Amino acid sequence: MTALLRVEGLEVVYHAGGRLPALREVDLEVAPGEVVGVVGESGCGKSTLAQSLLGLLPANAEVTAGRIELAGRDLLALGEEERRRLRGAVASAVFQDPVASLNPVLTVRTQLRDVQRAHRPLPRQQLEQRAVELLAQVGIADPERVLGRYPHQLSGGMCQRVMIALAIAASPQLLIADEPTSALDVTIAAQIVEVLRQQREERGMAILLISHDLGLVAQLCERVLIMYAGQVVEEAGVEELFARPRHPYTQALLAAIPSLRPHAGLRGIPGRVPSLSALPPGCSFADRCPHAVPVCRRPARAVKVASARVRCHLYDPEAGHPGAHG
Amino acid sequence: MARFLTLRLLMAALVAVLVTVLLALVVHLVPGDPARTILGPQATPALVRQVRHQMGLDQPLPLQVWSFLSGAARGDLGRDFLSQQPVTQLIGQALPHTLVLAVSALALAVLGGVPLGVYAATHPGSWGDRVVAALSVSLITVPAYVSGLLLLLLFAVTLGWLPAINAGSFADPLDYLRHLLLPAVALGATWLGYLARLVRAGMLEALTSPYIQAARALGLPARVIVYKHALKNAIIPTVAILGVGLGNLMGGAVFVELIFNRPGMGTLLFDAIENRNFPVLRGGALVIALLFVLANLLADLSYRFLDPRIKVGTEG
Amino acid sequence: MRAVAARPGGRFGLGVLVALLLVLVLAPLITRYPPDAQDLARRLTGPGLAHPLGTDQLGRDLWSRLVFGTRVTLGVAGPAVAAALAVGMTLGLLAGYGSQAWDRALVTVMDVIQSFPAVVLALVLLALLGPSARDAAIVIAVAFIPGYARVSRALTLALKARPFVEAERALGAGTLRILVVHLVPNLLGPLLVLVAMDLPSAIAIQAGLDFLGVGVQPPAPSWGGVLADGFEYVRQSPWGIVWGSLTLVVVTLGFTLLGEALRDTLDPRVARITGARRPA
Repeated sequence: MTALLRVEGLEVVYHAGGRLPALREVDLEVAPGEVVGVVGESGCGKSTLAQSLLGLLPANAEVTAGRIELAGRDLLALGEEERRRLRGAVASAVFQDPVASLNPVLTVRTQLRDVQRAHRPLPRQQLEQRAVELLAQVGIADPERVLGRYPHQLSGGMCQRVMIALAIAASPQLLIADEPTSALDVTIAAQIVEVLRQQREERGMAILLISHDLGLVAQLCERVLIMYAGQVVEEAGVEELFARPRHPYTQALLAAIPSLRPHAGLRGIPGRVPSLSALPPGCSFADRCPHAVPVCRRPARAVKVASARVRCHLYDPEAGHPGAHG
Repeated sequence: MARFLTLRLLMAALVAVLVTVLLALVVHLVPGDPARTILGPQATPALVRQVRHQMGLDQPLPLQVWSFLSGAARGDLGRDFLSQQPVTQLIGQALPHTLVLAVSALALAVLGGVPLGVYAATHPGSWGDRVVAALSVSLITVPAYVSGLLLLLLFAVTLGWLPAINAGSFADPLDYLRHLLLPAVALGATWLGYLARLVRAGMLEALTSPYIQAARALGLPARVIVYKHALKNAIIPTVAILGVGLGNLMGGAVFVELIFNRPGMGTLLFDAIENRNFPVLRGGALVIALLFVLANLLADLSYRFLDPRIKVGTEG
Repeated sequence: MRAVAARPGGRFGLGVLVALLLVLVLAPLITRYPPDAQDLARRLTGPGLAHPLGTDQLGRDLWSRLVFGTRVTLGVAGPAVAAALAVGMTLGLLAGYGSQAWDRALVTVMDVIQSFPAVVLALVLLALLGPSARDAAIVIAVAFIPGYARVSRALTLALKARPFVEAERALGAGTLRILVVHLVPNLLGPLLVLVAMDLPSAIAIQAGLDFLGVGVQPPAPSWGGVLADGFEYVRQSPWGIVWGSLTLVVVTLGFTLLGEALRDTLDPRVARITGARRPA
């Protein structure tokens, strides 16, 4: 089965007072209908990745290497108009702040109509009907009323449902969800997760879920990628990742999840994420890693380990790390 | 809404009162006497007294203010001393020309400034953007009378392409327009620059906002994004400013009317000033002040009308 | 603060400022004729060897009238803005620091003043009071006061709540001391930007009033006067209008650009990212 999305060796650089490497050697594959998670802290490159996949990088960002293949088409070789046609119709997105992601001076109806017209022009009455259907599908109880509303009149959860409706309006094969629940209350977030899950089942739509919330990822995803400082440091099936985290960063992340056990305390990760303008040579995580040795001053390769992939000298038999697993 | 309007009406009334009081005060305190000045040094005391009575100057100050304002409410602004015509009539003849001029100037400013602003915002950092920036700054700093004089010099006097004086008449629209062109351009140039800047800033802010990013991610065509999704947001503060602009242009209109010898409120006032024609001055100043307040009110209303966040309250 | 000179706009503005100051001071030295010296044999001439810019309808040297006019025009606009600054700042400080009642009263008055078109008001008042440069200055000052009052008030309100003010008060510092020593220095930056932006407006209004004949009176030289004379004789000679306009435009442009450069330097938020020009 051909992958819906295939990213190979993607490198993206920002030109902002120097060359800042935002993404390095990123490989990623999403099969049709698969739910893949991308986890990382702020600044690890998650959003840059999302923007690259949509062809929406800002003016001062540059793709310096790599390949992005979406539904069999080479995204980087396409012109802007072709890319525009893919957006919304093949790959679509929902973003973090639902209220801010909706146009404040246009009604929900107008925004839904515009999305549909962009990809599937239909007579007005049919557009209206579809709009009502879409809103109902995302769980809005009173679609006709909501259609006439402006975003500021709707709650956060409602807005996110509208956003999802907009994103699926042209029936994309891939939905990129960039922190879809971070701005919402826990109970509302759970509802949104349900909506996403439902839509995935009904439409066979693949989802690329970008989040810093490990719990959310555990709920929805089949496979997970862990990102750190612009690189993918580990990739595994969701159960495998949580049961046997391999990369020291993944281990630290999981250990940092607050435990409900009494007297467990909080365990953070010592040190800070390196600034993109001052990346250390070799492994970016080395200064915070309990297993760091001199060889870690050389860049680590991504290595296959069982059904997972890890970018760490510890798992690379050729790296020469004294503690290496065979 | 009703409360808002009542407040504004009160404000307008306050302004009217203040203007009248101010003028009456100044006349009262300044050495010299409008009546005597108009009549000249040969006037007999009896004549002066008669004219003073006619102008209402022999009454105590508060009564002067009251009788003038109550008359104004009935549409009577006194009589022009020299011609004995009702001031209301004079203003009625002059005002339309000024209004046409002001509206044309604003229209030109919008037709020129908005596209320039949109272009600059959609091509940031380009040569075009820099040209627009330079152009806007230049236009903003050049006062209306300088533009007027330069346009007069170039197009009317030197090249002779357009007429230099008068307004033509409404009966001949084409001729009227020919006479309107240079003055309207002179008056509107400053606002063109200002609007270009404003629209550019507003568009830049809209185009970098999350909702436009989301619109792009949904695959909306660039034209729809720029002209519908972004512009609708950017234009709101601009429209509000236009209302203020209409009032503001009155100042510039005085100069432009003078330079191009057009009939209008500006010329009316200026002549009244030359002739010390107090009744005309008083009535004219009142009308202008009220127009200004009205323009401000329109600006506020338009803001409320266009921005759904204010128009419709928030609900659950 | 000389980061202002780094920007091209700022450089131009500073250049204009310096040039103006030089002209102000060196006026008698850089002109060949006194501004009111008439030469009826040479009326309305264009630029030439004898008169670099030409002459007006009475044969007076245009260069000289413009140079000496600088003193006159700036001598009205400058003090007007300075007065507006002083009064406005004081009023704003008092409103921000003092009681609510004062504050409310001030805001209302400022609103009313700002809702009048300055030029029309000036015209009418000057007409009744008689044309005079001094009264023109007063009217302009009054029209500009609300700007300074508003900014001062806003900044004072913001600063009033800051810890260092509380600390000073706890230490027993008197109100006056707090105002003068601590608040005023913080206000000067933004107010200076406002001055740089208001000066061109004041100059433009002043010249406009002179043009109409209600400000500085002839035969005193003034930029507006040069324009007015040029206007009257426009069919015979364009030079009055040309040189008068050029002077006004260059000076107002210079100050405006200076003001913008000042504002950009003082406000770090205005960092523009144009980014590398590569297609995404």
